[in-house]
Amino acid sequence: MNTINVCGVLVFARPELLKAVHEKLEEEEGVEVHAATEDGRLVVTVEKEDQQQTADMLHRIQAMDHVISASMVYQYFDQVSENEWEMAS
Amino acid sequence: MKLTRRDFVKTNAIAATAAAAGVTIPGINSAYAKSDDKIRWDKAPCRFCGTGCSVLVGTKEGKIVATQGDPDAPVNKGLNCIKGYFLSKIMYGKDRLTTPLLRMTNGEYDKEGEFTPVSWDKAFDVMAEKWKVSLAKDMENNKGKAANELTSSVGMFGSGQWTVWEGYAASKLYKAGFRSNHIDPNARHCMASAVAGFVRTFGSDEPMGVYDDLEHADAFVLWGSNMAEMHPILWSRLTDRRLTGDDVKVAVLSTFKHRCYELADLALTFEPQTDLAILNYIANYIIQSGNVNKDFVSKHVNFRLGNPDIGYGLRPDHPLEVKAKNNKKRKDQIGSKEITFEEFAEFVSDYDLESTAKLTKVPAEKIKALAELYADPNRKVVSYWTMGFNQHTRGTWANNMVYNIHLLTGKISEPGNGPFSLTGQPSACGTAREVGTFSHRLPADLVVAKEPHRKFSEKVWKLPEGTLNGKVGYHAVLQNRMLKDGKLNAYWVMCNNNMQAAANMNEEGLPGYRNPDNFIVVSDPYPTVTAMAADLILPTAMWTEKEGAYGNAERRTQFWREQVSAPGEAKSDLWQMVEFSKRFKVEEVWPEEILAKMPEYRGKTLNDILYENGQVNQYPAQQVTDSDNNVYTNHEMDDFGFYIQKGLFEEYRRFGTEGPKKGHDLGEFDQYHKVRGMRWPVVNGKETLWRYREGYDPFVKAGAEVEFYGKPDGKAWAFALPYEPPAESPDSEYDLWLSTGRVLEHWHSGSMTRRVPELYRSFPDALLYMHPKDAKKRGLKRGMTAKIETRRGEITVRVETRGRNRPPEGLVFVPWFDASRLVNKLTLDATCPISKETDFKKCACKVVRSA
Amino acid sequence: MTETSQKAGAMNRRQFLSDTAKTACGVSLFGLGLGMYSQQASSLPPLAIRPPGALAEDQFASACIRCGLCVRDCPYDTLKLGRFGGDVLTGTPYFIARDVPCEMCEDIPCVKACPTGALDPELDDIDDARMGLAALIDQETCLNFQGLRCEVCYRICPLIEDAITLDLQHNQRSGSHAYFIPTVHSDACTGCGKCERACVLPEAAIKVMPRKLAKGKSAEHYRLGWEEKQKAGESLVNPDVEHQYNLPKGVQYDHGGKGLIKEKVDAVPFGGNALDTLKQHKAEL
Repeated sequence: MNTINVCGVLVFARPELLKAVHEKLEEEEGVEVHAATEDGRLVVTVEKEDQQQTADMLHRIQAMDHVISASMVYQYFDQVSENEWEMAS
Repeated sequence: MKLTRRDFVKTNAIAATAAAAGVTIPGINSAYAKSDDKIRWDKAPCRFCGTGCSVLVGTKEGKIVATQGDPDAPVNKGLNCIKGYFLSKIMYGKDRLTTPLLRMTNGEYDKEGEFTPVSWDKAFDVMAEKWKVSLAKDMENNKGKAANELTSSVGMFGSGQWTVWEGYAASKLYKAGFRSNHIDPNARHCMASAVAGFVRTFGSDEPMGVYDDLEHADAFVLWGSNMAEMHPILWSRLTDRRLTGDDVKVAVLSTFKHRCYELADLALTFEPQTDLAILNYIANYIIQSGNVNKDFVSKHVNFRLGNPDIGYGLRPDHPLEVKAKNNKKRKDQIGSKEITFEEFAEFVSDYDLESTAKLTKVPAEKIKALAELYADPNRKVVSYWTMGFNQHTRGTWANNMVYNIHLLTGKISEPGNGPFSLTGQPSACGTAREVGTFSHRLPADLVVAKEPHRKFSEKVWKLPEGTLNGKVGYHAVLQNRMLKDGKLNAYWVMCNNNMQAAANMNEEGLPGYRNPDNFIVVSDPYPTVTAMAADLILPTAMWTEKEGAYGNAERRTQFWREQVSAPGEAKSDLWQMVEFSKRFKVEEVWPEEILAKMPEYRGKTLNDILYENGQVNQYPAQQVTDSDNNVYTNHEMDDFGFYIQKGLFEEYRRFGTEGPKKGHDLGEFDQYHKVRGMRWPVVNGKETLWRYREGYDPFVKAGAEVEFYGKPDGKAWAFALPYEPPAESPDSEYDLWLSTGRVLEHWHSGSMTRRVPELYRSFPDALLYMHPKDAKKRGLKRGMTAKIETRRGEITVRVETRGRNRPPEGLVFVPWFDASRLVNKLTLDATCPISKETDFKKCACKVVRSA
Repeated sequence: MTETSQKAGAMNRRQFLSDTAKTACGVSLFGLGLGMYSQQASSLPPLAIRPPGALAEDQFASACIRCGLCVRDCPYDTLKLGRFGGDVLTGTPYFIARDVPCEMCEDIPCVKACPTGALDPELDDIDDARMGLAALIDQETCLNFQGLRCEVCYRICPLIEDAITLDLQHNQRSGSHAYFIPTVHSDACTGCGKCERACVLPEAAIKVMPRKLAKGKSAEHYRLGWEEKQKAGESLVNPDVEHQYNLPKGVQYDHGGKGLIKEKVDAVPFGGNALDTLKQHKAEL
């Protein structure tokens, strides 16, 4: 058994400090930035072992310097074995 | 490239977030959009009634998120009734059972204990221990007995909702494994009378016609069938035929006015039980008016005088049983002797218009008009019936008597002409009847009482000669009585809710289940009334949580693939039976003299002998895919390591293709997964539409025109049978008839439909339908709570004097779907003595104001 | 909680503000409340239905003394009282059919309880009540219009076959099924709302509304000929004579009948279908 625990988070940062926030986010374990816009929006995923860790990370992001807001857009949690779910792309 | 589930989920997370941010990420948005719509569609028959509508099941992320009527299905062409519309919700009730629950006190099994979650291992340990005590006792009792004298104290109550292979696996487990014939399906309550009627008249079960008759006939007669509510899609076809056909007539017979009356050209509300007299009058009218098809009758019909006074299937010490003449022995109940056509004509001549009208309380001109429909040689007539006929203390007779009418006129086995019994369950035909999960049957119309049939079955099943028990087992009603009497001690109820469904719950069912001598196991997806009465509850995978097959009322066998996983530890009925069989060494169930005939079986388990027997396990595990290369899980295949559904079906199929009763051939397993069902007999890949008719049915001899080949001489039997009164009629104290039944919104005991909020809201509670005058006489008004009492119990229900059902004065109707208003506390467990099917339509009750 | 019920009675933002104000300044609020009465009187929300026997809305508003007795005597908790600041006149009775419909009690306890006649005491047969009118508003989502066998609204109707009937039509798409179209009849519908309550859709396709909103009105200048004929029991102008036609030999023309051109039955020596013909042949062999 394995858990899948993935969140999509929309982060608003102060536009002039976007780069700093971007870098800061990438330093966190399990956090990936997939896109950023000039006006300060960042498309972020958070992938953690359990929901507690996910929640903690969300709080961390919210508390980061220059982050105006971080809102969870998508959350998925399930326990599945990974190979069982392989599918052709 | 392989995309793992984790990647997939992550892509969705990115896409959803990007969408919220208004950001376009190349390649991602489209993936998200695609995955959003990416519902996998596959076909399955509807979970509910015997109509057998096909639906497309939409699955996404492991959950059924939508269904649609299958536009390519010949039965329903994309349509569904309101139950079918909510199919995607039936599996997701909040109170699904997800773990075995055992009654325990201080960590040990205790009949009076509280339900406690246990592991499957623990559940099977306790269960096997109880079975082994019973089986050891049985072996002791059966020492030196002949095959037709074997007794047993283990039993099972199964279902017309089992998949074909589950019914087959169950039958094998009990009949071959435990050597017990005490296995019966809930279909006993539903169409046993139709079975007995078909077999008695034609020597072979199931209708000769198909649903296509709906478009070919120009008159329809409904005998005790509220098709408008109970077979909604068939009613839609019948209505369309009535609307678009030229001079199409619809006649409806019932003991109370219901929704079919709105379309009826001729509606007959008759006094309960007197349908028998109407049937005989019609036969008489056909003869008197010179409309007998003499050519047909002389070539294809024999006449028989059936034994009268056959009792009411009550306990033997009941005064009615003591008094009856031909009820003590089976051969007397079913007995008949040959007579001539003239003698038959003489017999039915007693049923003239005047006396029939008087007895039935139907205006004479209406009865005559009905007889004219049948007699008119230019009119093609289909008769439909369900529970009004089948749940009848003379249910087998009623079936026989409607065949008389079709045989006398030759209106049978051809497009638009024929008698057709509709079924209430999705696989009453496919599983209960064709597989033969009744206490007297074996697959493909074989019976346990006939030695050649047992021998053939033993050959297919690779059993030592003499393994199969030749004594007919306990039927549904008798099972409850034997539980109460302590003769049936280890009992497994699977895929049905019989505590709620069976008659006379207070006096028989409940005391039977709670008898301290007994251990009761109930397998179900939901905690039903029956589960509550059990000692061990097993959580069950339902419908498309497993690979399955159902057979509908027109002999159409339909397959489906597993679509989603069952929740928690729920397992399919098939898995449960196979795993349970692993707990038994053959020495614990078979005596030495049987085992000595096949010493190679020594030391083996029942699983080795029944399922891993070199036949059932001959198809190795494989990937299950559809034509779009979607891959499907098959949990049983994963767990057992072979394609068990295919193995069981292919072994079962041999009963049809090689067995002593011809005309039961099924197609190959793989073919069914490709088609929207096929109607048997299937020969060389070709389906059969009208049985017994040359050209349509490959088993009819060339030149015979019509051949009822279930009988040795190819001739059907027309039975001379009288009207006889019901078991219990209203009197001065219990002054009303009580009839029970269903409503469109709910299916059977409501264990699925009442868990769909919209269906629950659409018809929340059972109501007491009664005539306004009857209500007024008792000081009752619409909406008040009334108490209904019979000699067996009482319940309180709200009075409805309006609405969909309009009983005549003297009769009340209560639907049985409502677990909070258990109408079967009231009903009488009288049965048709031949079919053993309970009469749920007639007993005496009184209605008073509730305090 | 549905959107409609929020509008009608439940706590909303406006009410919340009002209630806050009330605790702060009870006296001035009375004046405000009066102002709202007059503002609300003409605007009963479309899904708020008055109890059986309620007078026309403006008469009702003046006759009802907001005593709440009808609500107290309703055995099914159907009736509610308009709350202060809600869309329904404060203190007056109403119900939302989708939440709890009227069960149409034979003895009409709500009417009996009314001390002022705002609920007409002459109403002694609940079938005569005209609380509102059901209208099948949305044919695009109604399952019956798609050919599905739902008709839940029809079967739940206490006046089934009078207030709601099924109009049967051929389903051209499937070719072998029928449509069962629920049809509401305003001369029998009491507006009890059981149909709306029972509708299985997430948002009901059939809704009960005040009759004024639900009902259209026929013009006087055009009459439906077949209805007028039925009312009169005969043709308004003398019945048509039987027509005679020039026809090919052996052909009948059945005016007004089915299958207009009919060959005489004995025009061919065969049966009406292949099986009959085969039988015929067999008999002759």
